[in-house]
Amino acid sequence: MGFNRSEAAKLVGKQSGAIKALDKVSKSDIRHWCEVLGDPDPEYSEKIKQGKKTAPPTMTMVWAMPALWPPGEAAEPHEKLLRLLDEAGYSGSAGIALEQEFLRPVRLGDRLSYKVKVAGLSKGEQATRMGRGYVVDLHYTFFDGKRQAVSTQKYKVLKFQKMELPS
Amino acid sequence: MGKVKRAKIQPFSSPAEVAFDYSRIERFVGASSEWHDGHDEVSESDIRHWCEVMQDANPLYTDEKYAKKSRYKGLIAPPVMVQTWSLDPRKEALGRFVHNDPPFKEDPHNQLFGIIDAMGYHGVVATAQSQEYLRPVRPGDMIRGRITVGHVSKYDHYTRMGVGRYVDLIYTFANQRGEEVCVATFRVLKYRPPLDTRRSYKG
Repeated sequence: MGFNRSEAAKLVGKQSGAIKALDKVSKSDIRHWCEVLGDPDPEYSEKIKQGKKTAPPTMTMVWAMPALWPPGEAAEPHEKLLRLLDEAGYSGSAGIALEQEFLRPVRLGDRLSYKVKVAGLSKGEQATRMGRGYVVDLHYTFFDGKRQAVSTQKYKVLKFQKMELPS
Repeated sequence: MGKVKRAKIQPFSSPAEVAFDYSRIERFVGASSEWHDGHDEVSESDIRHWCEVMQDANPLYTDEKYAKKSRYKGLIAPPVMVQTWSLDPRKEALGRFVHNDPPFKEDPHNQLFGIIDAMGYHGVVATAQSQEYLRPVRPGDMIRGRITVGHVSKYDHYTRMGVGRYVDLIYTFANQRGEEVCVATFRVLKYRPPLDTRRSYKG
């Protein structure tokens, strides 16, 4: 199945509705995160113990990760675009750039929500070392429980045709 | 031509050789460790992660409305997750499985394994597990556990893995109110492997 670029171009510039994070900001997830990143964690656990309750700001994306299961419908513009690329054979994903800005602290117990805007799609197929593919620009905004923006994020992802391994 | 010097091949540890001295470990049988607290409270996000990877859609674990109407009168954690709450953090887990430096060295079962290892039975394989659930575990609970040495074989067993002894461990889990939530048994075979497998993992 070929890639319908004109259909994909219609999605550029569109923003999703507010998508609710699946989990509340929780102490155990923060501990797991510090554990795997090797963060000796002098700040977070101490602050949480003192009741100041601040989560690592770079974890915003963690709270907003979509579920692995059950498989859902592609309802939002960015999901549709990525699905289109997947179906056209560009099934590989590689994050190539991430820019984050932090506006407010994230509190324990908050349930974040986020909006994603499809900010750009490369004009044509790009030839890269990973394979041929398209670069998708996604702009995220994260909100806390009071609908105040806590963080913005610019994320560039390369959707590429995985190279066939010689058999 | 001179004789080629060959490395002497060590014979496989013979079962005829008595290596296991039961009297050295007898005092640990029936002994219990201290209670060890879990590292996290039971959290809804950990429950959801577990359901996601196990592909378990039981609404008792994630759907608050449904759970309230059930006979449990609220969300419960999947009972099988009981050991999840007291799993080692990364550093302790690496100590236990890679660097031969387990946490809680003073616990009877750890002292027991140290002595059994030194007697040459340093291979280990889990052979049986059972869990009995006594009370539901709910989000916000703090689960703690202790380990009791239940039984150690008095005689060698001849298995495909090598000559070994079974060690039965009894895990007791309780919540923050001291109520037992689960009793689990875990049976491992400590055996004499033909090669020092632990040494080959090191490094």
